[in-house]
Amino acid sequence: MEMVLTLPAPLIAGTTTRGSAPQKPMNEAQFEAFYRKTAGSLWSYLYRLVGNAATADDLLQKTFFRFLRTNPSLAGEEHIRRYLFRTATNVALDHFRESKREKNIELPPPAPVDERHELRHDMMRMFGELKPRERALLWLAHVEEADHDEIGEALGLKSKSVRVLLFRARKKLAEILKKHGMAPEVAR
Amino acid sequence: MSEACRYERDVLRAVEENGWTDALRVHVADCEDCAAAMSVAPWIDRFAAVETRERALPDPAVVWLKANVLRGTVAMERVARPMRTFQFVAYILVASGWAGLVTWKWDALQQWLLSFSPAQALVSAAYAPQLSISFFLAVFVLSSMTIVLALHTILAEE
Repeated sequence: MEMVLTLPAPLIAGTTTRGSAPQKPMNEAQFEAFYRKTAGSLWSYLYRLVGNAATADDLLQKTFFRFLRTNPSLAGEEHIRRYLFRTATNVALDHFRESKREKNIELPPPAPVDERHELRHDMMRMFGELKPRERALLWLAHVEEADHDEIGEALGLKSKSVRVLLFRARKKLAEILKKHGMAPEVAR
Repeated sequence: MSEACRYERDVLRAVEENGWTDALRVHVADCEDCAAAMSVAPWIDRFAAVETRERALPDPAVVWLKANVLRGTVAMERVARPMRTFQFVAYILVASGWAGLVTWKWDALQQWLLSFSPAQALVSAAYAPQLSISFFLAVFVLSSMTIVLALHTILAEE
């Protein structure tokens, strides 16, 4: 028998349009399809924020638990995706608050076993020199290609602040890369 | 610095696809936002491309099931909240009742306890001039309430 989440809580804002009939909540099969579409990129984001695969797994599940508590429908999938990243950001920042490790990323195991691991380790270490919010800003702007409004929504910031903070985060990352002798060459 | 540069996305795309136009080159030279974006974009692209996941993602069926279980727990907690409030109020009432009773009859109790001996306990208690029937009634009521509350707590926990 297929289970359907039917919490009386309102649907995520924007998943229904004013005047139209409310959408049916996701059933298990729809959730599975949505999960397969979004979980990979969400996990990558969380992993880059916390720097630990097991923690990223936990936070990914927490994110989806919170997401499912809102009784989501499939309407406005792009909006739901943004909501998911906002939830993931909150979950990750809660994690940092709880563990009081905001300043230090949890590094992957210290002894890389091959070249690929070594590269990943070095990159994670450099990225880890940024604060969690700076990591989130850069990832959302560059990898998720979110605009400033969307980033502001995800991080609870005004879009004007996003511009300033993003600029600082980029400068800081550029400094870090330079410090490690990795300032990128840009083909122009 | 108030609004996002409208060329930022084009600059990032140009970095990614190596699709620079003269107009973009000119723009980047003048726009510090885009220059900053351009300086880190190749590294972030490489960083994003590095495979980091070494095991499968949590199974969606398990996530769905756990979410349902958690939902049940949350609903149960919501239902149990008034009961817990009632229990808390009852604790306070019984504790204040005992405190009030002891304060009210402190002198008589002290006298009774000092003259306490196993054989004489009930006799002296019954004839203690300052311990009235109402006192013993209050002790009885409070004792019953304490026992009921304790039993309720234990059974509710189970």
